[in-house]
Amino acid sequence: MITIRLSITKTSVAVSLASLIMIGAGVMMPLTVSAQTPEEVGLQIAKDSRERDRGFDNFSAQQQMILRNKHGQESLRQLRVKVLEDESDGNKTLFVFDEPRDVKGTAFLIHSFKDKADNQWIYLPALKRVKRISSSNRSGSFMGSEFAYEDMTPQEVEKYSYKFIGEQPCGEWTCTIVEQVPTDKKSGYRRQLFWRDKEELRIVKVEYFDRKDVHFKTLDLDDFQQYLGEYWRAGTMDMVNHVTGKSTTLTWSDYQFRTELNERDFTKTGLKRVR
Amino acid sequence: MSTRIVASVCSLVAATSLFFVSASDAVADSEVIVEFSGRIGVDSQFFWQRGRPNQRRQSYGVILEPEIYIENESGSSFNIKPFYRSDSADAHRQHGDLREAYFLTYGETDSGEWEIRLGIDQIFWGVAESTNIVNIVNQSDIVEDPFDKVRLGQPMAHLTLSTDWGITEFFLLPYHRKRTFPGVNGRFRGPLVVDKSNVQYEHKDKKRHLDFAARYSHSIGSVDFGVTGFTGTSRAPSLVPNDCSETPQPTALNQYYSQIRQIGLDMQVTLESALLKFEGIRRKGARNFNVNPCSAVEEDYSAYLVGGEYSFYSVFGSDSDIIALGEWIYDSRGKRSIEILNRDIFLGLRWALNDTQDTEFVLGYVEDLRYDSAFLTAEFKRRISDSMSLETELFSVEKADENDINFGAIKKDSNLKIRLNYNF
Repeated sequence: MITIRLSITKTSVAVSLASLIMIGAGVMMPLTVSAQTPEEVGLQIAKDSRERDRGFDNFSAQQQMILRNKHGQESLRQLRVKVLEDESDGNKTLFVFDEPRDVKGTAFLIHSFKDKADNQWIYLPALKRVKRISSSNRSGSFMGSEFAYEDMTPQEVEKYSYKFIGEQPCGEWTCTIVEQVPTDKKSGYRRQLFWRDKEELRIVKVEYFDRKDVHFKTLDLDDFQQYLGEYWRAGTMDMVNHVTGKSTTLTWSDYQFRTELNERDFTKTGLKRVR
Repeated sequence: MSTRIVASVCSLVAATSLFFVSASDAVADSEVIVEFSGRIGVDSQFFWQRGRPNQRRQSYGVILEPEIYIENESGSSFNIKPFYRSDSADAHRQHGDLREAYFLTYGETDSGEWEIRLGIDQIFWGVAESTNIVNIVNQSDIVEDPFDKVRLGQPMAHLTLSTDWGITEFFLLPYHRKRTFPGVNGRFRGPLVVDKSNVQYEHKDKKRHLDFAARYSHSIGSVDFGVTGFTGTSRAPSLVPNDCSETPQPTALNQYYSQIRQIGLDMQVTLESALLKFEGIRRKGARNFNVNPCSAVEEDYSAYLVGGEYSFYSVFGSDSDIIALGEWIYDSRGKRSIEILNRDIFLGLRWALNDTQDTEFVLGYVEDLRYDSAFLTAEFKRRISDSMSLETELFSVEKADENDINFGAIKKDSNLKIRLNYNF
């Protein structure tokens, strides 16, 4: 495909992992207060983390995924993500695929809810068909990558239980480690360990344990940048599957916050207009 | 017809270029996106049974389907997607079409949004997999796909109004496209070839009759539904022998298009891993020549489809998904129905490996509930590189009842199709 973009387009794009990058805002709670149980501390960190990410309104960004198998063979995915914040209900997320070329124009719309399963639609451009799909595929691979659908869609705080594990140095920072257990039985994870730096609550590492409690995936986040002087986003995310030897590097670019995106871009009609 | 389409496209192009010029004049730092993409395909089809006289057992073809997309600063856009296929066996299958050529603009209203599409477009209505009974706006491109998965571009003015109360759409359809049919060397046809040029219409305005369609759709919780209406020239022709004398010796079939009215309902309930589906229509004014080929009987009828799919995700601890499909199709005309799927059961199984090549197997089986007829389909799809993909498709007639006129016509058309696509 040849794309000529004269000056910057507003249809820019992409992102989600919204959950992974939810960087909380609030005040760091005093971890030393002994009256709090590890569960309470864990929940507090998760809530603070969400609090810090509030108010971004919407953003779009471009994602590039490099998928590597255990022999080191690579294949490329190019997509765009648009996220609309909805504090009352749950965020809305739109993925548009650009590469590989045979799925170009395919789009995936998610309406998340705090208290119930997501609504999801897929747009198939060859048939011009919008299809409502089941949202119970939480653990499946996203585009053949090491990221699962549940890694790519918003993780509402209400859908997990938490436990504060401890503190550890992480690079130049000190990190809190919080265990997060999904209440959704469809999740592929028994638990996840979230490493967040104490200063800004940036998620720098996530360890994933499967249903048999085997630590099978690790996500490392890097190249952090702050947007609007408030919101931290990782530029690089490396997901390694220790069982299969496969890995995926997800690179984010062209972040744009508070764009012209609105509700109407996240409807079935909007989905048919997607390019 | 082709000149008319070309003319309308030219005027659309002219209008659009004016539009973009004025837009860029008005806004100094306007942003215009021009995108060129598409696919080139080569395919071959092999039939293992000798068919009717003149029918070929093998064919090769090339498909070209480029797409140009232009978007201006305000988000309005112009899209053009021509299609051309060459075919070594059948002159009627060698054909071109403007799948899409429309101008799109949209904006906000007090309570929602409006959208207008002007030009040639593809409209999909329905929820099912084996057939889409409610899907009526576009004409079927039968030579491209005998099972109606591919449709011809339809000229239209299409207005969409979205509110929190649902989506309402209106369609003005000023031009009727006649269905494509295989020629004398082509497969998937009866003993008589359909005459491309002898087309009759019930209405005096013929192909220029202004058809009207509308759809109201909404999502409420786990339920998505659409109510549709259509009034105008039928997309499904009656096929009339060209000799109806007392001692008929017909040499071809003529197409006859009635004026019809149709209401339809499509609905899907999305549960955890299950989708429940319904499609149904009531059609008035259709003429049926299946009872007596030379004397049409006007026959109102209903048709329904009830079905669903169930997904098994990450089966056996792998990345694979398996989706089981089942659909029951009913047509109140019974044996007089002109559709292949009239009182049938469809069972399907889709196995998606979710690997980097998006490898996928699909099995389908259709059993006629009235006749002793059945067929099997098997598909295999895989991406070979970032831009190349492979599709193979098997169609196998398992049994064909002698009395089944619709299906009996294609009982020797079991075949294997292989296609290689280059996507750019």
